[in-house]
Order: sequence, then C-alpha cells, then structure tokens
Amino acid sequence: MGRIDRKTELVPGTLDMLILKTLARGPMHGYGVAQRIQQVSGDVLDVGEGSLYPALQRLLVNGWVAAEWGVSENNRRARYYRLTAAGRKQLAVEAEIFARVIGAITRVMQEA
Amino acid sequence: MRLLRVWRKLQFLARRREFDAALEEEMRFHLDMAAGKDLVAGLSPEEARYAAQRRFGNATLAREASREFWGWAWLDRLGQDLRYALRTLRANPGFTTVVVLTLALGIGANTAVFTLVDAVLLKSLPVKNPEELYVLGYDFGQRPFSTYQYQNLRDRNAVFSGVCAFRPWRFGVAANGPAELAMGQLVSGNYFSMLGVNAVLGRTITNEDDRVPGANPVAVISYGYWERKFGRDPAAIGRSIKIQGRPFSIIGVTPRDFFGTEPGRAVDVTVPLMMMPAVMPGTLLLTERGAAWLRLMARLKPGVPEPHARANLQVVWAQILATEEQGWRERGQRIDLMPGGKGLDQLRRQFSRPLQLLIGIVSLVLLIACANVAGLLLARAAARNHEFTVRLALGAGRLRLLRQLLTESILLALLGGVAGVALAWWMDRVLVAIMSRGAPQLTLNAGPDMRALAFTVAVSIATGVLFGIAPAFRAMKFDVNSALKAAQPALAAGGTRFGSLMLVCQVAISCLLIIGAGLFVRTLRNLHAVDAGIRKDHVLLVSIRPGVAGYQGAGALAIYRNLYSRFSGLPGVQSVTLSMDTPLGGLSYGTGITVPGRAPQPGDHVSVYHNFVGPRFFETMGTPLLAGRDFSSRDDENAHRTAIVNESLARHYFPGVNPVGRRILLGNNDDAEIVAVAKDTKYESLRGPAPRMVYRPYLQVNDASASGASEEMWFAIRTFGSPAGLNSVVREAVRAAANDLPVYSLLTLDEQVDATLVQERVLAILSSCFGALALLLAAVGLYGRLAFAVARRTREIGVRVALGADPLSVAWMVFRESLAVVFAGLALGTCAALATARLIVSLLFGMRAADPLTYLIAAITLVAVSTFAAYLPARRAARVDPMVALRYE
Repeated sequence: MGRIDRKTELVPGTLDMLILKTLARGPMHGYGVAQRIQQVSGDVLDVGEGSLYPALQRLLVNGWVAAEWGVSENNRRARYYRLTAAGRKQLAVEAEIFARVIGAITRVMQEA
Repeated sequence: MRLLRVWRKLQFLARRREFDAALEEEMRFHLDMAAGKDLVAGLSPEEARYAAQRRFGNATLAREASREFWGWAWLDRLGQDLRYALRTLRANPGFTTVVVLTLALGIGANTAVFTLVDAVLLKSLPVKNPEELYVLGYDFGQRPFSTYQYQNLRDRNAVFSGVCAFRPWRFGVAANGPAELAMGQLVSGNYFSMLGVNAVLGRTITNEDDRVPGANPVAVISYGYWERKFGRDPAAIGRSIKIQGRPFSIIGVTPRDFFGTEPGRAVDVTVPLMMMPAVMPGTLLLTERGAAWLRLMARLKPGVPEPHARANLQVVWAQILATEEQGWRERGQRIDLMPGGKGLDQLRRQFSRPLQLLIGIVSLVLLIACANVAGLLLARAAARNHEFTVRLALGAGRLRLLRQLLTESILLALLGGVAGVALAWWMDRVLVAIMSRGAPQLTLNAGPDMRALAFTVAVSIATGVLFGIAPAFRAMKFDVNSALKAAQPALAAGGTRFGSLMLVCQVAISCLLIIGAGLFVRTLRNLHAVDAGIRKDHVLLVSIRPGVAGYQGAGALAIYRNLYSRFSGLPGVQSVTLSMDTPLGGLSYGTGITVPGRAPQPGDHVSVYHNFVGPRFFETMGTPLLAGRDFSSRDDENAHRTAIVNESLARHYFPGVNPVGRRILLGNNDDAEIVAVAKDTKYESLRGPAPRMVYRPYLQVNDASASGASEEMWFAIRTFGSPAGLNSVVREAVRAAANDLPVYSLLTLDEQVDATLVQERVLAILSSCFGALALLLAAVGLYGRLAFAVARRTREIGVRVALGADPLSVAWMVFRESLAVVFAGLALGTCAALATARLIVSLLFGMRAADPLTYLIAAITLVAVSTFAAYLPARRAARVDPMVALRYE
C-alpha cells in the first residue's frame, strides 16, 4: 500500500493531477475526493489528510479549483470543491506530461 | 495568472480568521467521516475516533502547510517575531530601559554630530547645480574684488555662464518698528538667476534692478525674516521698509532653505549692488576704482573642464591687472578658482578640525555603547538558556531562533534610535550654543533633516545587527540535551573570553577619551592663563560706525567726541576710551615704520600695526605703561604727531635704550614723537606672540594714510559693576547723540576674548562630556560582568568559604579578575593615545601631546572608577553564605 504523503511521494507532483481528475467528474468535498482516489485505485493509493488539504489549498491559490460551502449526504456542512475552466486546462496539460513520462519509463523498463 | 494569484492571496489576508475557522471545520468533518467509516467497519466509537486521529497525522502541521500557500509566510513570521520581541522587552522593563538609554546616547551623539558636520562641512548650498559653482579669489584667499574688476571679469571671460557679485553687510532695518540691525547683503542683478533661486512670493532681484545707481530701492527678504517680521503675510510684498533710514520696497521672499552663500550667516535682507550709496553712505565703494569690496561667484559653462577655465581666467585677470595700479599687480598675480558648491568657507575653516575630531570621538562612544549592550544581551541570553532549549526541543528551527533574536536586537536598536533622535535634537542646540558664544550671530539650520534621519536609521540597524549577532550565535551553538540535563547551565569558555576582550576594548577607549579630554581641558586652562596684556573683566565694548548714518571726516570725529563725553557721564562708569582695534578683536591697519638714523636690520619685515586710540586707553584696558605718559585731549588734530609704542617694537627698533622722546617715521614719512612705551598686548589670538604696535591718538587719524580709519571705532567702558548692565543706557546715549545711528556691536571684553577660544572650548567641553560618558559605560560594563560572574560562581564561592576560605580572599579573587582587564585596557588605551598624539598636536597649547601629568591623571581616574565598579560585586562575593549557596541550585 503506497501512502501518498509529503515525505515519501512515490511519483511527485501527481497528487494535484489525481485530485483534478477526480473533481472532473463533479463537485466533491475533501473526504469524498480521498475516498474516491482510494476506491478507484483499488486501495493502492491512500491519500493522507496531511497532504490532501495542503494540495487542495494549492489548487485554490492557483485558481484551478473553486470552493463553496454546501450540505453533505448526512446533513452536515461541508466544503465542496469543483473544477474551474482553468483547472480543466491544467488537467489536460498535466495528464499529457504524465503520459509522456510514464511512456518513457515503461520503454526503458521494457527494454531490459 | 500571477496577478490573480496575488489578488487571491490578498483576499486571504483580509479574511484570515474566517479561513482558519473554515479549515478547522473542514478537517473536523473529514475526521468524523473517517471515524464513521471505521465505525461501519466494526470498531467501537472511541477506537474509531482514535484510529481516525492517528491517521490524521500531525493536524497542526497540515493546517500550517495549508496556510502557507495562502499567506506571505515571511510577513507572518516577521509579525510573529515582532510581537514576541515586544512582549519580551516589556517583560523586562529594567533591562530594556538600560539598553535603550545606552543606545540612545551612542546613536543620539552620532546623529547630533553628523547633523552639525553636514551643515558645516558637507552640505551643498540649496541652489541649482551647486557643483558647477566656483568662488573667485586671489592672493591665496577668497579676497574681495573691486567693481571695475568684477565687471571686467564678468564680461570678458569665455568659460562661465555667469559671474555674480555680492557683499555681506549689516544694515539698520525698520520693518514694523524701530530700526534693528539685520544681516544683509548687496547683490548683483544676476545673483539670483545665476544661483537658480526663485522667489516663493513675488520676485527676486534682476538685472533691470541693478542698472542705475540708486534708482531701484527694492529689497528681497528671507523666509525666516518674512515669518518673524510679517507673520508670513502675503501682503508683505509691496510694503515699504526703511533701510538705513531710506525707504525700500519689498519685492519678494526667498525659499525657506535658502540662506545666502555663506554657511553660518543667514542673510535676511538683500538689495541690489547699485543701491550701495543709499545703504552704505559715506563710502565710495561702488565707483572707486581701488575699492575692493565684492565677493565673486561664478558658474562654469557645462562641458568646460576646470583647468581650461582656470587658464582662461588667468589670462583675463592678467589683462585686467595690466590696466590697474602697481599696488594691485603686486598683491594678486594669481587668480584662484575654488569650488563654491558649499559656499564661502569661513565657518568650515574654523570648525573643520574640531568637528572631524568630534566624529571620531562619538564613533568610539557608540562602539562602547554597542559593546555594553552586547555584553548585557549575552548575559541575558545565558539566562534564557532554558527557554531556548525548550523551544529547540519542541522543534523550532535554529535559523528561526536566530532570526527572532536578531529581530529583538534590531527592535531594541530602533527604539534606541528613536530616543537618540530626540536626544540629538537637544544636543545640537547645545552644540550650536557652545559654538556661538561670543561669535556674532552664528545661525546654523541644524535641524534634523532627511539625511541625518537616514543616517540614524542606518546606524541603528547596523548597531542592532552588531550587538545582536554575538548572543544569537551563542544561542545557536546549543547542545540541547546537555543543557536540559544540567542543573545550572555552564557558560562556554569561549563566551567569557569574548566578553573579556570587549571589556578591555571598552576600557581602552575610555582611557583614550579621558586622556584626550585631559589634554584639551588643560589646553583651555593654559590659554585662559595667558597674559594678554590687559585686564579683561568689567569692560564693555561698543562699536560705532558713523559712516552708516552719513557722518564723515570731521563730522565723524564730532560724533566720537560727543559719545565720549556722554559715556563718561553714565552711572557706574570708571573710565571710557575709544580705539580702532580692540585686544583680541583683530587688527586692521599696518604699515612699516622707519627710525631715522637706523640702518635696516633683519627682522624689520615683521609687520607693525597701528591702532588709533583715545585718552585713557591703556588705563581702561588695564595695560600698564612702562615709561612715559598716556595720550591726553591735548593730542588732537592740531598738535604735532605723537605715538606710543609697545615693548616688542621698542626691543627691536630701540634695543637697550629708552625710546621715549625719540622720533619715528610712519608710512608716508610723517614723523611722530614717541611719548610712552606700553606693555605688550595680544590682538589677534592668545596663541603666538604679541604684534609690534604703534598707538596714535584717534584725533590724529584723518591725516594718516589709513583710508577709512574713521569708519569704525570701538568704545571701551570700564565699569564698577557688571558691564552688561549698561547695555540699554549705552544704546540710549547713542540714540540721544544721533538718532539714526545704530549701535553696530555690543559685547564685553570678556566675551570677545572668549570668542577667540571657541574651538578650544568646544573641544574641551565635548571631549570631557564624552570621555565621562565613555567611562560611565565602561564602568557599567565592568560592574555587570563582575556581578554576573559572581552570580554564576556562587556555588564555587560557597564551597570555598565552607572549606575555610577567608571572605577577604574571596573578594580579592573576584577583584583580581577586574584588575587584569583594567590594566590591559589602560595599557592599550595609553598606547593608542601615544600613537594618535600627532593628530592633535596643532590643537594643543602649552604642552606636549605626550604630557605625562595628563596620562597619570587619566590612569588614576580609570583605576579609581573601576575599583568603585568592582567594589559591589566583590563585597557580595565576600558575603556569600555557604549554606545558602550550596543548597540553592
């Protein structure tokens, strides 16, 4: 189980991309984003809260996501994040870079 | 994109608290959800919550990390540091006060001296492009030129964009009341335009105003004068004032910071050159070919190199000289171009050396102050060991700690700077007062200005960093574990050595300053003890210029006679006399003499000066006549010429014989009979020998070749009581004699003599004050260090006493520590004094720079003060109760 947190980030810089991708499906609160990533990755990627929220703030500062207060499933106040147009663009950019990098790594590994 | 980011960040700053609360709530929500999930998975509520919290990790860190993206972190940290520093300072009021005061003294003194130095030495005139300005002079000085020379120089040069002329003068001005003497000047029409000075109200003098003699009675007044006399009333323009009794109309006001072209002499009223006959009546300076009365300043044409200008000027001057009389050609072949950006340098020449020395002194005082504060901070840092170790153990970064300590130091320094500015303002007034005593109207706009303020801030910050670094570094070199464990944290050996070194330096600097102070004070005393050949107490000097009110020749003599009898009739008057020159007031007229029948000898070239005096001159001045009789009222313009000579002249021209009854030939071969020999009197300065003097009766002045000798006469009134008490009745008497005749100067002989000692007095007073200050600071430093050492070694002392040590020997042990420091400092300071002795030799009088008595006194003073400083801690050490000391941790 790979734990994505600040100290041992396996693939640095991908957390932002993962969050953006998750939010592309629709607005979600922080906990929801973490849960989703964990589910979809088959429990491989476990986003620690210690890195989730700083990452969300970073995305907010850069204007890639926007936040609003809403009501959660169990009737509690929660903050919902949603992807902005700029965020969508950023997602595309990061996904492309990531794909290129992964492709390159894969090629190297396959060659041996 | 960047802009939007910044905009968002700014929003964060505005709503910080909301943000924090929101984040908190969000995290709590997350925590609850996670706990809920665990609950579903089968854990008990408490376990679930506990598991969630564990998973959450360092919530605080997460929060901080989140915030970091929003805030400007450094701004946050700075704010935190400042708040913490303020709290710490307020918690230790005694410490803070001592430190701030010490710094205020050091920084304030530096700022005060810098402001003065700036005003006198550094500041450029408040005119346009002062670096292009030059002062013209010849004969190696800034000597005056004649109207003819000025006009020719102005019109025939090829290198200046303008040459202007001006002449300082003091006129009687009646603005809103009776006539008072005001600082004034006459200027050429292009003066203001050449300097680039525009009026803030009305207009300045132009070439039009300066065309026809006497045609334009216009005047420009200074801002200060406008404020004082007209209350800044805009209707002052067009108002009529009386200058020397004649109506002038005010046409403009100059800017606030413009004071003319001579630092230290602020001009209030300016009139055109062509109005000279109205303002200086009875003189023909404007038209007379040989009258040198104008000072010239010129502005170099842009792009002309200075040597080129000098060459061209020399050529033009040679052409002018060719048309002048022989006498001119002898005097001034060489015309000089001196940088004029700072104005005429009368003031600079007088105070340049003392001011430079002063800068050195106050810098040293500041260094001592810094060393003291550093010592205090080090001691306090040692006391804060515990606080530092805890913070380090809690995870504070070392760099953060260092930064916080530096912030504290700089804050202290800035506080000291603020207090220092207030102190500097006060000190400047005192300094100017000291420098002005006796000197007529020294006006320095020495208020705190931007440069001085910037200087202070820079010095404060530098000081803060300087004394803050040592303790900060010490705090960083910390071994957390051992410090937490040790009951009484031990001071590293390195720290003590550094402290000792600083203390030695402090003592050395104090020693140096005390020696300097001793030398200057003794110089002043030596000068005071010089026999000037007079009795300077109880004499009032009154200067009268009849020419100013239009009296000439015989008319002037009549005025003098009139005043003489009036003054003699005043109450409390012992005797009255008058003379052209007064002792220590300078000499105006000199010409060679010859003795019929005597061959020329080596040493004849030394100038012989003439002084025209009234009856009872020697009696009033307190100069004994060594042979012969005094002048009487019979020695008037109808009697044959008489003269009195002084000792020096008699010794040189009549060695070994009594000159009374002999004849001498004066300048233009007029012969005079010597009727007495007077004791030598000093006329120019107390240093140096008395000049050779020939005294002549004042009534015989007009037939002498001294042109303008009746221009000004000084009355001397010896009183029974205080001479200054006669001021008002003297003015009354003068007004009664001639209504429009102002009193030109009024001072006592004492003040006049004192005025020649301004430099020495300034140095003596200031070096004593700063020397004492330095000594005090060093003593405080010594005391602090010893007290701290005793406190630190209480246990050790307790052990010693318990083992049977004699309290006296314990006290001696403490005392011994200070002795080493004091003697090292003494040795260092004495060597420094000897090494720098050469620098101040020219300022001393009557002693060598390595005067042993002064050094001895300084050494004794130093040892005495340090003994006193060490006494209390030593006593405390002797009183240590071993029972208490051993138990107390």
